[in-house]
Amino acid sequence: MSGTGRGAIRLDEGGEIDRGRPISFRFDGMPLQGYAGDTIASALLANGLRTVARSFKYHRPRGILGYGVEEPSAILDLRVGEGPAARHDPNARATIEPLLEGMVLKAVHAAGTAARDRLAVLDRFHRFIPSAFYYKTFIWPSWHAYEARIRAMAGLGRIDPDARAGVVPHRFANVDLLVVGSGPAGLAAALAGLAGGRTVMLIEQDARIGGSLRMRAGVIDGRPGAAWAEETVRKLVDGGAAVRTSATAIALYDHNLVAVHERGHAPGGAGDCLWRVRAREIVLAAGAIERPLLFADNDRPGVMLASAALAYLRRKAVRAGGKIVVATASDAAYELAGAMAAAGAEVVVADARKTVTDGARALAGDVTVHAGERIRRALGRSEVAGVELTGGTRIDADLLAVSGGFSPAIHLYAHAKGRPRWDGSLGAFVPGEPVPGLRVAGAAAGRFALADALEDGTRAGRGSGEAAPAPSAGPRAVAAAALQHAAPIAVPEAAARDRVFVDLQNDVITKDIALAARESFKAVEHLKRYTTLGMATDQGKTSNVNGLAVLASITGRSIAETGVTTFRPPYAPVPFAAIIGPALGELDAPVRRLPAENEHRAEQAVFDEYGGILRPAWYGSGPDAIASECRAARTAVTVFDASPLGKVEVVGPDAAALLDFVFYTRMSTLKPGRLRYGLMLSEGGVVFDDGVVLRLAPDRFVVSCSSSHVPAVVGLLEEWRQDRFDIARVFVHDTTGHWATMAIAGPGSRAVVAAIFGESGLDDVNLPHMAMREARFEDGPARISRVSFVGERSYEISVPAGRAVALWRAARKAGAVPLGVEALSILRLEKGFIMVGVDTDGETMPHDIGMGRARDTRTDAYAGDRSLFTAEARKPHRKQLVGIAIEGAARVPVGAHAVVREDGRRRSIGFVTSSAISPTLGSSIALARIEDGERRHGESVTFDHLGRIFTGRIVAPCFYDQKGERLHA
Amino acid sequence: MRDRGLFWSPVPDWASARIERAGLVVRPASAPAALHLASGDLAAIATAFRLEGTLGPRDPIPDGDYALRLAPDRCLVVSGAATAGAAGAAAGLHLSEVTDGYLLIDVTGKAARDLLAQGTSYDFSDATVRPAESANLLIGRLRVAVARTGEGFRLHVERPTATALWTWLDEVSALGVGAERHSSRA
Repeated sequence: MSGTGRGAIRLDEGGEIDRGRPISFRFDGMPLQGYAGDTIASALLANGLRTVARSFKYHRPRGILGYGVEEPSAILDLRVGEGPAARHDPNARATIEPLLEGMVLKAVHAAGTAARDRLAVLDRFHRFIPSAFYYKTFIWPSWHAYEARIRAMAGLGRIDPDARAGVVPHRFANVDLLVVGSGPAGLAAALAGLAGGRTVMLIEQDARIGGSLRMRAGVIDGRPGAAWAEETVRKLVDGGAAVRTSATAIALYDHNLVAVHERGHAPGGAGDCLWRVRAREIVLAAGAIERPLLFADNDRPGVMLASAALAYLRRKAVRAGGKIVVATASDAAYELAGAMAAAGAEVVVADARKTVTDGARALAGDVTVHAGERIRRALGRSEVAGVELTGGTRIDADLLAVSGGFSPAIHLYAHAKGRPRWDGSLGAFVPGEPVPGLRVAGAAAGRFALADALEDGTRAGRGSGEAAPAPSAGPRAVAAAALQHAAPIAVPEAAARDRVFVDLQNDVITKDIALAARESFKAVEHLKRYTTLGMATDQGKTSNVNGLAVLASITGRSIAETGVTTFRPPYAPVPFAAIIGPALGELDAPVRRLPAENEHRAEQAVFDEYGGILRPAWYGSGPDAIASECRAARTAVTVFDASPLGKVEVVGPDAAALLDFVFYTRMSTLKPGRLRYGLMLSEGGVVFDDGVVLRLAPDRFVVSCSSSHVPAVVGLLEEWRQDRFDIARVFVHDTTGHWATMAIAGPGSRAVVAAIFGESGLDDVNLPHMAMREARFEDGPARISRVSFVGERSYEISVPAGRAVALWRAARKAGAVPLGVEALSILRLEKGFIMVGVDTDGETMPHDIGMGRARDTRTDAYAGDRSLFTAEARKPHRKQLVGIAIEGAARVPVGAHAVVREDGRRRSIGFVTSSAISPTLGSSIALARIEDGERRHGESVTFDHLGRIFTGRIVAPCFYDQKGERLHA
Repeated sequence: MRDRGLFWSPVPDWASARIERAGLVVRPASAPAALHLASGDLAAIATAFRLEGTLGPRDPIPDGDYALRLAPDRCLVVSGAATAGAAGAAAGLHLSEVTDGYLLIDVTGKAARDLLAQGTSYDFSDATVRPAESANLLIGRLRVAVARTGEGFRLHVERPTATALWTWLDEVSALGVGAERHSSRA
């Protein structure tokens, strides 16, 4: 098996694994075993596998480079669990996911397996497929001829349409101090925050607390670092701090809102949570990410970050190789050299520096060091078999541990609009000017030494709180010999045949950057988009800075001059399920309900959503249901649940004045007990809503606006009230939910209403059209209004919502037939009654819909008044509301355009806004808005709907009972 | 057309509706005799209804009548007596009766706060006194007037959105709720 290395072994003792709990799993069909406490990556390494993936573009064999979130290569298709708990992740990061029993893993890009990929041949054509090749190569005869095939090869894993993600809860938290990262700086910050009496939340993206303390030697307050970390976290929890592990701060938004994705790692996604943490202060102690080195074939399986190799060794008891070359230009990797030698491996160090520091020597002990030597290339056809040094020496090796310096994880600082600064002496981007409410501490701030990190953390966690202890009171580490962490980035002079990989996940090589520069994409943001450097799901954590260094060297600029691309959230990939949270199914855009909903269900109502309200569309299942409801309203009597109609009370001594201003029609002249229809306009003079205003008393009105516009109308009234009126003299109360309203309509409506109330006094003298009276229903108040939306004699009866069902049943008992929204829409269309937002749009003014009178006569101020006289408002040929009598029996679709031919070209002069086959008239009718429509009555007009042609005649927008006699029938 | 009535759960029978989870009981509170929207000077309203003051989300509901602040000059008065409105009107207040317009839901138990923390960013632990704070919060993106009770919270939701809130409380609490579920772990 080509994936079997010679030297990777699991140590017999140590690490965070539980050797008493073996775990079986499969990778590319091979049955393998690991232990509880392993990640997928550590288990694969312990099984001797080095090739675990294929690269995105060239299908080159790839291994595990990192230990955590920075991993660019080891991304796998993961399946685990069965039934409802089954989980499929098409691109799981092997370094993040804990190993679970029964996991089935597959390499994602491979056609076949990671070891045998049928597409590996692509690598031989690499010269023909550089960056952006598809823009240049696949243009004849058309990009579309190739697109499907190329897209099929791209992507990152395949989604299983049958897989179901679990529902991820969202949680809000408010804390004084949020500490991101639980290494020495983070723990010290949390301790200091707690000591200062602040509420503290500490989050750690790893499954365990401690950060670098879990893998690097160090003594804090006299105890080993890892033991101190365990002790400290207990202290924090006992002190009331919230400590979350496997929790990654993915984004920082305005006002210190931090999104934290916590992984439960359970099958089915159980235990995941998306936190939204509002923190008064944030300490960013997220550490630093090691950079790989640039040399030929630096992507071979067996090349690993030195820090990752150390973490696998110390934390997972996996010695990732037996013959190890450690390549570095600083002191940091020497701890690995010493530890690997102690674990029985053969270790050689290649140090780019001419002289090696004493501190480094002390860490590595007695290993061979090639000073002043870099790696020229990795040897081995498909996996690392050795290295060739710049001096020409060749060394056999099965693991090449690389350390190219460190990039502080300053992403959250950058999300907060902090501007990173290039520190040449550190060879790293570090935080520049501080941003309010956020402090960066420890390695994230470029302070790598343990003692510095602790002091830094204590200072940051102390914040500006005076109660907090002085930094000197925080945890202390014995200062070892100062180690040099800074490493200059060496850009090799690559030979023509060599390929030096910068971005492993997107297969970007140094030549791609040179090509981009040659083609003038020299700005970092252009480079990024041209080459896709740093655009993969790892967001360039191991590649961005190396890429900048390569660009800088090609263009002869410094890295500081070259600049850095914008850090954008999320810091690490987040499943959509976490972003959506529980807003699925019924929790996504929930609808408002009627008080008598269950009664309608019992009446066999078929429901639909109208303006965010669940309402009966029609009743029963007959094919003729809607038409027969229409006929019942015209010939007998119907009951319609109109409960969501607005019941917005406007009260106070200035109530009439407010309504005069907000309504286009004056309302102050309305007498108590009477109703009036009116429009409300926006400031732009556009029809905002229509409604009926009912005056209950001199200082009390009820605005009965459109059902779906109630919140908007309340807002409009409130806005003008606060902007223009004495807010102590007029108030707006939305009482819509308190009242149920049933509309009884049809020639038999008066008898039904009389039966419900068992009384007379409903004659047209006492209760004429557009009047109301108060009554009693079941020992409670009731309002009876003569108002109609269907053109027949109608009564709207309102009672408190708790009596909705009783009122409905009383109407049914008296002989009224249920009427749904669909039939109502046809009935009102027959009458030409508009629905605002259906028959009007964002440019409809009152004089476009036959209501120009107030515009012509009103002299007092009202909302939108001046806008009705702008050049636009007075423009000739505005679209005006008309009726259309369609020829033939077909319904014309809403949106169909009225077209004319002018100068040989077709032009739209308007469009259909409502249409129906009228059961009353037996013909096809429509409302439309047509240029100069009012002057075109009688003209024939042609409608085109996506090629279907209809002919109709323009008529007045009322098809039935134009004199309005039915209101009194 | 598909019947959307099949997609949405019917309105619960509020008389028997109840959600029980470990550390959590959610049930409609007994309906008060009268609810009124009252506008004007909040202190004057409190005096007219013989209340100590008006409540925000962190304030405990006292025995007897109370009023929740909805806006700087508007509150929801919850009364045990049906005649409260007439008394208020006699005192010159601007009132509108909304007794049937709201459903009151009690969320009680030691997991109550964690459940609410899944729906609102409001910080119930903040001890800062804000006398003008509105009781209206968004919970699960729905407008709800909230005040504390002895062992949890009372939610005052407008009837048309009560079913949506109930579904939210039911489905979200079913995902796991309570301090145990999210205890600190190292």
